[in-house]
Amino acid sequence: MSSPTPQAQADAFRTLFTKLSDELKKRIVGQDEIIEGVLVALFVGGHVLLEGVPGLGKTMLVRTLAEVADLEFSRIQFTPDLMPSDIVGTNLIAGEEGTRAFRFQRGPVFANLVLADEINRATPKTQSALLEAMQEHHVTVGGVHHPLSEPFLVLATQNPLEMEGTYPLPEAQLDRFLFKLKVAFPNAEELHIILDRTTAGGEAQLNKVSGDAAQLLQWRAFVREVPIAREVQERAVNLVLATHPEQAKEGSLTRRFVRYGASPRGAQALILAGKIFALLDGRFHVAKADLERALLPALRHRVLLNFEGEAEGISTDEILREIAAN
Amino acid sequence: MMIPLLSRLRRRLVVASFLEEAARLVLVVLVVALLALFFGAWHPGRLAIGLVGSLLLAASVSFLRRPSLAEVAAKIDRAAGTHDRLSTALAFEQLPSPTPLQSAALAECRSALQSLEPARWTPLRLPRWLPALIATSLLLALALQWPRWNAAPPLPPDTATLAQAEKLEALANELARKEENETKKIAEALKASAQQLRDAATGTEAEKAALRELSALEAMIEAAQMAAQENPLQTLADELAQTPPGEAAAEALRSGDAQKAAEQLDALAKEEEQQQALEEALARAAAKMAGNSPLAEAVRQAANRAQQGQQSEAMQQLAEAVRQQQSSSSQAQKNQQELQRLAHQLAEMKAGDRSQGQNDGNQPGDGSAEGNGSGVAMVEAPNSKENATPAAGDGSGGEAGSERDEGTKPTALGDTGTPAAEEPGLQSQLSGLMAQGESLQSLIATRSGEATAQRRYQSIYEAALPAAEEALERENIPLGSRLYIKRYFESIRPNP
Repeated sequence: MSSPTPQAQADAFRTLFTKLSDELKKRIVGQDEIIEGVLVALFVGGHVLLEGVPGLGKTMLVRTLAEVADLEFSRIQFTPDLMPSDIVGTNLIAGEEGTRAFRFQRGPVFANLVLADEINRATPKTQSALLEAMQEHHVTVGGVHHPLSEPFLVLATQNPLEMEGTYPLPEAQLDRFLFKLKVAFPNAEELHIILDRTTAGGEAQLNKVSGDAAQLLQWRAFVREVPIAREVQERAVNLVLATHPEQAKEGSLTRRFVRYGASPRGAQALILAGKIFALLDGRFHVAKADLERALLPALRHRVLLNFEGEAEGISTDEILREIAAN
Repeated sequence: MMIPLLSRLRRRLVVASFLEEAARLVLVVLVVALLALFFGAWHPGRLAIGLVGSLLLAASVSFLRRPSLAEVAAKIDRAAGTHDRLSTALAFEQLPSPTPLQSAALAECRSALQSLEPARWTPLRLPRWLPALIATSLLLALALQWPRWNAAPPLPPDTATLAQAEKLEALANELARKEENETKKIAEALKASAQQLRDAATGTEAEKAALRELSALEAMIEAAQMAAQENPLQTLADELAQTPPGEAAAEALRSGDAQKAAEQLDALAKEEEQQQALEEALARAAAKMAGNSPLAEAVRQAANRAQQGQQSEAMQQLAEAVRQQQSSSSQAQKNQQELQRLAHQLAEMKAGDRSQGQNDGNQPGDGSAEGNGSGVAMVEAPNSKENATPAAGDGSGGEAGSERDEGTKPTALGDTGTPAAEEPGLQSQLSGLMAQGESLQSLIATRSGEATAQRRYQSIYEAALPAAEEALERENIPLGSRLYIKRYFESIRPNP
């Protein structure tokens, strides 16, 4: 049996992506960029940080995605008293057939889709426990490594308003997220649709789109095979380097307001997301436009403002837009 | 497929770059040529060299700065919005063993690029500098043609100047008939000046050259007059008057009675007293007499004879010389009058020409000139002004005044006056070395107690801010508390 042609694979990928998106839109009104970003992260294998005020459908989005993609889903509500073992699991003494032994009780992190709700409310210690799981795709309890089930995707949310008693994610942990998506408040028309859907009748019926987790992993491998020319890759490198104040142009926003620029993970995120966008656009190669399309979600959480930038109320999106324009 | 296409496009880009560079460089050359024309340093050969050089330079620059194929691909991708298909195709085409997806990408790029019109994205436009280039070229052509268009039509022969030339020729002919060397020289010079004037009148010779010739002639006549003014009889009379036996002869010489003086000298030759005094008087007279006139020669020979003890023969020779001098004195007087007349006529010619030039140029007049020697020449220009500075001549008169007048048209009589700005004393510049002079330092003592701040709050804040940031990074501060520290510093941040 001959393997499908790249064209057939690309068509199948586009179809799958479109179906997933359409199914998500049955429950999520508006937020097209959020849906697209989450799906891109799903096919790339990256984690997503969703930032938005409560009630905008962040949790609904993740739950719906798990349902549509037929993936195992778990939710962790982060609180200040949440312990690392509450996330990764713990060893319990269990008696079986007259003997007692430690048995590893898996935590909620052992799922394909993990919703870390209000992740900034947990202590840094607990956040760090999730950090290892996100990066290494395994956890260590009692000196024993426990691999996580693949695909493993963390979708964390945080509320940008209530900062009292929170523990903002350190830069190292922020860098683990492929995308940071800002969930915007819906406009009036979208709000009407939300009200119509949620205050009358039942929930919309969803159709499972993805076959299984293994198929998703195959798609991830296919996406990574999408080629990129050196000329285009150089654009990604230049975009990342331009976020560093010491290499930015004199008088630019970066030079004035940025303390640290994006890490190499930022360039990886740009290119991987660019490959998805290229396939969705019917191409087999990444273009510079694809990279620029992924610029804001991929780099906005990797650029750290200095005091002056925070005091001036500069957003990293402004800085990145200036970089993309130059 | 991509490499030949991109090579063709690169050639078009190089040609476009050459046109642009050439237009810019040629424009620079033309502007420089215009400036050279304006400042009087115009040379057509230099313009040709500049144009050829600019074209060569433009070709060299375009060739050396030609883009690589990847740059060409990126440029057209950017312009045509091909989603980097050219760059991608160029990169994947050179791969030895592309992956299936790379091959698919290459095929997709080629397919999409088939509809691309390369010439549309690498157009051979006219250079941006072309309008400026055309305008500058026209300006230069106009500037070059302007003197030809603006030239006055050829003037008819100047009858006044021709008349002056004829006068000079007549004088020259008259002088040429005389046998004397000096007058012959003057006659030749007069002929040359007449020819110069004739050429100037017909436009074949510059008026300035003709007037310069006249000035040289005038100097020659002045020298001849000076020589003619020397009266050897007077010198001899002065020296003889200092000896008692020679007083009578001296008196006769002073009164112009040469015959009587010769007789007195003959009488002295017969006397044997006071021969020593006469010998000394002759020696002094011979020493004072310059030139080669017959009388001077005779006095020198007489002095020599007297020194040799032949006083009698010396006096006889001297008496004979006085008689001959008397006979030639009338001719010398005529020559002197002739030279004076020549000087007058030349001065009138030059004055007439000068005033004519002033009238033509509508320039201020040059004042007056006067001499204090023999023959006073007074030249007055009709447009003289009060501010013209008169200058006295030193003997022959004639050429003065105009040399200090800036408004006078330059003539052979002298160049235009020195501009006031170039006169010494009007421009001065102080010189010195920076930081080499004296300096003033002072210490201001103040009272202790309350005083105003010595440093601006803004500078204090800017110095403290990095320290705070560093402390935040270094110290183990809970993440939640860092926000309060940031807010604190934000609250004390000075207003911009």
